[in-house]
Amino acid sequence: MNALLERSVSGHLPELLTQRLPRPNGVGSVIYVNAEGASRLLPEGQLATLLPKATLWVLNDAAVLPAALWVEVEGSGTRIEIRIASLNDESGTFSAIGFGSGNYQVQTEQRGAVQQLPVGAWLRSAASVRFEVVHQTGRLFELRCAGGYRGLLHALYTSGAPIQYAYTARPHQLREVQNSYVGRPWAIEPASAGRHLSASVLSALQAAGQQLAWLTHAAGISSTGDAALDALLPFPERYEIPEATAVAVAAARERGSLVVAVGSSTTRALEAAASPGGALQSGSGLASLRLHADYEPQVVDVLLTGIHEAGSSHRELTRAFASDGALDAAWHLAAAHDLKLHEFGDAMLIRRR
Amino acid sequence: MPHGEPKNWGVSSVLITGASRGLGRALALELCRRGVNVALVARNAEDLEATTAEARKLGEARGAKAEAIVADVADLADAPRIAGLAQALIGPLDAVVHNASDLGETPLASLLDGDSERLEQVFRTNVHGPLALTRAVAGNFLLHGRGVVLGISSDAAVEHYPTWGGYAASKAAFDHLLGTLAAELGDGLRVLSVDPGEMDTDMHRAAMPDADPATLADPQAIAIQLAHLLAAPYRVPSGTRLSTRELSALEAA
Repeated sequence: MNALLERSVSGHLPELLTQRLPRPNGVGSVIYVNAEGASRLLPEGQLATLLPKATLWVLNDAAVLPAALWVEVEGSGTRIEIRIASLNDESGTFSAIGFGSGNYQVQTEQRGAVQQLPVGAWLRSAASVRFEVVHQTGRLFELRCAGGYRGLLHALYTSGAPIQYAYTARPHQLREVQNSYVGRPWAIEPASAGRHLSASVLSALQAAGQQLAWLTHAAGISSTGDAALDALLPFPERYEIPEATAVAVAAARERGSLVVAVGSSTTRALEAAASPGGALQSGSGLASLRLHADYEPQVVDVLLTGIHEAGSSHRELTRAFASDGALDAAWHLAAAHDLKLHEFGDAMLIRRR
Repeated sequence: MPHGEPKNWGVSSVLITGASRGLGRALALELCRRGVNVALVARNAEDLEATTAEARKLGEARGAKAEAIVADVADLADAPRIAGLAQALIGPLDAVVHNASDLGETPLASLLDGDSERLEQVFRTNVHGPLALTRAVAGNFLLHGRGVVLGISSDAAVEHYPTWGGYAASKAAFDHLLGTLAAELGDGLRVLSVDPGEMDTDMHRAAMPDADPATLADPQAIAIQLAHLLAAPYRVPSGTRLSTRELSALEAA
C-alpha cells in the first residue's frame, strides 16, 4: 500500500463526498494550487481572470460515446455488458471489457465474471448488430463488429449508454456527460475537467484575453474490475492535434505564456506529442505514456483536473505537478469547503511546482 | 485558427436537417457536388437513404462524404446522438443548417380555430429542436473559433398573413434566438437566418395547393445561393437575417 493511501485509510486525510449526479456545465468550485504549493478556493467566476493575459488554454473536444452495451451470447442466451476499452480506429474491430451479473450500481470489481467463449463466438446487441469474438483473456475481449464501424456506431447509439459509475444516484444520460464544446465522439469516458468550462466560461476566458486551443483525445476506460488489467490503464489512446494548436503552443512558449491543459486527457495528448524541450508535433498519434510523480511535464504548466482520493491513479498523475504536501493541503481545503470528489465533482487548478 | 478574426474560410462539413426533400435535399446535393461533407437528417428512412445515395455519388469526384441519420429533430433528447453520429461519420462539423420545418395543421387554420397541441408540436420542431441541436454542436464552433449556424426562415416571420400565425410565430421565435446567439458567441462565428422565398416544394404545396408552380422558385436555385453563402460566410456579419434579394445579391457578388 502506498504511503498516501495508508495515511488516507488511517484517517490522516479527512473524508470527501462524491458528487453523485452530473451538475450542469460550469457549475462547481475550483481550488487553485500555486507554484509554491499554497492552495486557495477561487471565488466564483475567477477562473477566467486568475492567470495572466495570453495564457493558452488547451481543451480536449472529444464527445463521449455511449460506450457500454448489453449483448447476448448467441446460442447460450447469457447476457453480458461490454464496455469499449479502446476504439482507436474505424475498422469496426475494438477491445472491450466484459462484465457479467450485476448492474452499474455494483462496483466493477464485484461484477460477475464472464464465461470463456471460443474464438468465433457471436454476441448480439438489442439492435441485432453482431460481434464476433476475435480473442478473449478473462474480462478483456477483442471484438469485430459484423457491420463494421457503422454497425458499431449504430449499436452503441441505439442500444448503448454512457459508461456508468457505481456511485451515481441514478443512471446518467448521454447529454448529461457531454462537455459544452464537444465535437467528434472519441471519448470512452468523459474528459470531465471540461465540465467546469461552460460556453459562458469560454467566452469569459476570451474576454479576459486568454487564448483557447483544442485537440481531440480518446479518453479511455477508467476501471475494468480486474486488478491486473487496471494496472495497465490507461490503455493507449488516439489523439489528434491540429496544426493551429501546435503553432499556438509554440507561440505561448516563445512569449513566456503559461499553457493550461484542461483535464488529464489533454495533458496526456500534449505530453505524448511533445519532443524533449517542449516542441509540439501536430497530427495524429497514440498516447501511451503515463504521468507519475517523477514525470517532468514538457508542455503543460497548469493542470485543471477533478479531485480524486489519495492512492488513486488519478491522484498519482497530479503528483507530476505538485508535491504530496501541496496535494494534501489542497485536499484539506477541499474538505473544509465541502467540495465533491470524482467525475461530476469539483476541481483543482494546479500550477506546476 | 483557434482564435482571432477568421478570414477566408468556407465550411467543410455540414449537418442539414430536413435533408431528404425540398430545399434540404437540394442543398445536400449541391454541397456534396462542391466537395463539402454532409450529414443528412430526416425522419423518413427510405427518402433519406435515396437522397444520401445520390449525394454520395455527386460527392465522389471530390471525395465528399454523405451520411444519413434517421431522426426527428422534435425529439430534444436525441440531439447528442445526432451530433455524435454525424461527427463520427463525416468528421468535425463546421456548420449546421436548420432546414427541417413543421407547417402545422393543413389546411392552415386561423389562430382562433387552430389546435393548441398541434402548435406545441410546431414549436418543438421549429424552435426547441433546432436549439437543442445547436447546443450539441455550436460550443465546438466557439472553441474552434469558426462555424456557421444557419436557420431557414420565412417572410411569414416578419409579415402577418392570416392562417399562418402558428408557423410564423415559430419562425419569428427562432430568428430571435439566432440573433441572440449571434450576440452571445461573438463575431468569429456566423449565426445567420435566411428567408429563401416561396419555393416549389412539398411544404409549399401543403400550405397553398392552388399556387401556380411557375411563380415559385426552384429549390435548386436557392440551394446554389446557400452554397455560395456557406463557401464564404465571413462576408456577412453574424446575426444577419438575409432576404431572398440579399441572398441572390451575394451569389452575384
